[in-house]
Order: sequence, then structure tokens, then C-alpha cells
Amino acid sequence: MSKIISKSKKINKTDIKKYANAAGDFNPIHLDENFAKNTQFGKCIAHGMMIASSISETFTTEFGIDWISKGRLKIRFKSPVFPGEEITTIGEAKKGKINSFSVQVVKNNNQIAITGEASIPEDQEVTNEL
Amino acid sequence: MEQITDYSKLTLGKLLCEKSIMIDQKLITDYMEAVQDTSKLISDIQGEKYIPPMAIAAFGLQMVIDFLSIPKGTLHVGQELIIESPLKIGELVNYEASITANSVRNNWRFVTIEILAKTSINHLVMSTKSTITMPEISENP
Repeated sequence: MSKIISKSKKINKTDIKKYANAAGDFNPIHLDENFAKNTQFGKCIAHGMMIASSISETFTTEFGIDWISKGRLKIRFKSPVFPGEEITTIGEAKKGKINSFSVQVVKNNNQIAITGEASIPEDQEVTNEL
Repeated sequence: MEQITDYSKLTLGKLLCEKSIMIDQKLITDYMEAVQDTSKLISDIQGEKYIPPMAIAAFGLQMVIDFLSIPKGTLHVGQELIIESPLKIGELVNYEASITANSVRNNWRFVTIEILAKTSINHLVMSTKSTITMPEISENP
């Protein structure tokens, strides 16, 4: 499998509120427009872990029990996702590696929201390294 | 455990906080709806379903954010996840958090929190590292 592409999903304010309630994260940068307009982003942004969940969802769909048993993920949040934007997760196999991927979450304006690496080590090579 | 609000005093490697959470079906249903996760939950041979790994990580991170009373506008800049074994819905998760890095760059404090998620019999389910950044408030402006 050389490339994995998820279905796109639109992130809206209702989802962000639902996530805040589900995860218990009520940081006003996600929920309060008056607060958010005075931050560097100028408006509310989605929770990073909410966006990152799309990577785990994609790898769960592709690899099932192997991902949820021994998956590894290392990501950086590069740019915020604003309400109304769409995201797509892309995993691209690393050259010469089995089950080791470069991952990105890309917005519909082609900006990268998240970049990083994901892997599923073979049983004999399970280590703490990606 | 003592509440810390002076983040420069966070001690590396020391247990910061711990908490047990029962991740039940309602929590997972709400979580999956919020993140629009339409994948089928993976089940074991008895049909018992496993918790999505990112949910385990998210609930653990929230425990630390609550404990630290982090300032409004704190940002999440990096995340690592090492899954050791799956966990079924309805199982108790014991979280233990410690600080692995704490530094200031350009008036922003960067704190990396390691969280271990374990079962009730102390079996490691997952280890995570979350890096957050918050504006550094100088005591000597």
C-alpha cells in the first residue's frame, strides 16, 4: 500500500462544541469568538486532537487491530483548522519501509494542518522509535 | 498532589498528576460523533469493542490540562503516540503524567507532558507525549 487518502470532512462550529464537551477541553480559543479575535489566529480554531483523530481513524480503517494494538504516531500541528474548512488525511509509504508512512492532514486550501510520521512495527521490531 | 501554576517550577521526570477514568460507551459515542469518525469500532472475538486510540490520548491530555489550569489560548503544537495494546470500552484507564521538557523560546513556554495510560492491573496501554505552548509571563517586565 503506497498511498492512503481519507474521505474529506468539513469541520464546523457545532463539531468543535461537541468535541469540547466530549473531551472536556473548553479553551476559549476554540469556542469564544470574542477571545479568539484577539489571538494570532483572529478567530476560533478546532482542537488539535480533534483534527489528529482523522489520522488514527484513517489508519484504523486501513490496518484495523494492528493499528490499535501497536501503532506509532509522531505529529506536529503546523496550521490551525478554522470552522468551515475541510480536511483530508494522506498517508504515503516511506521508500523501502513496510508499514511506515509520512502523514499529513491537508486543508481544502492546500495548507498543511498536521505533518508527521506513522508506523506499525513488525512484531520483531517493536521499539519506542518511529 | 500540589497544584502548580508557576510553570517554570514544573519538575522534569516527577509524577505530576494521576487519575482514573472509565471510558464508557457514551463517552466514545460522543467522541466519535464530534470527530466525525465513521469507521467501525474494532471488536475482539467476543464482539467487545475497543476504544479508538486517539480518544485514550485525548482524555489523558485533558486530565493534565485541567490539573495545570493552563492559561487561555494555550496551543497544542506536537503529539506523539505509542500504542502498546488495545483497550476495551468500559475498562478503567489509569493515567500518570510527568513533564519531560520545559523551556522558554521567544516569550513562549514550551512544555512536553508524557502520559502513561495503564489498565487496572498496571498493564501499559499507551504512552503519549504532548507539547503545548503558552505565553510566558515575565515576573520582571
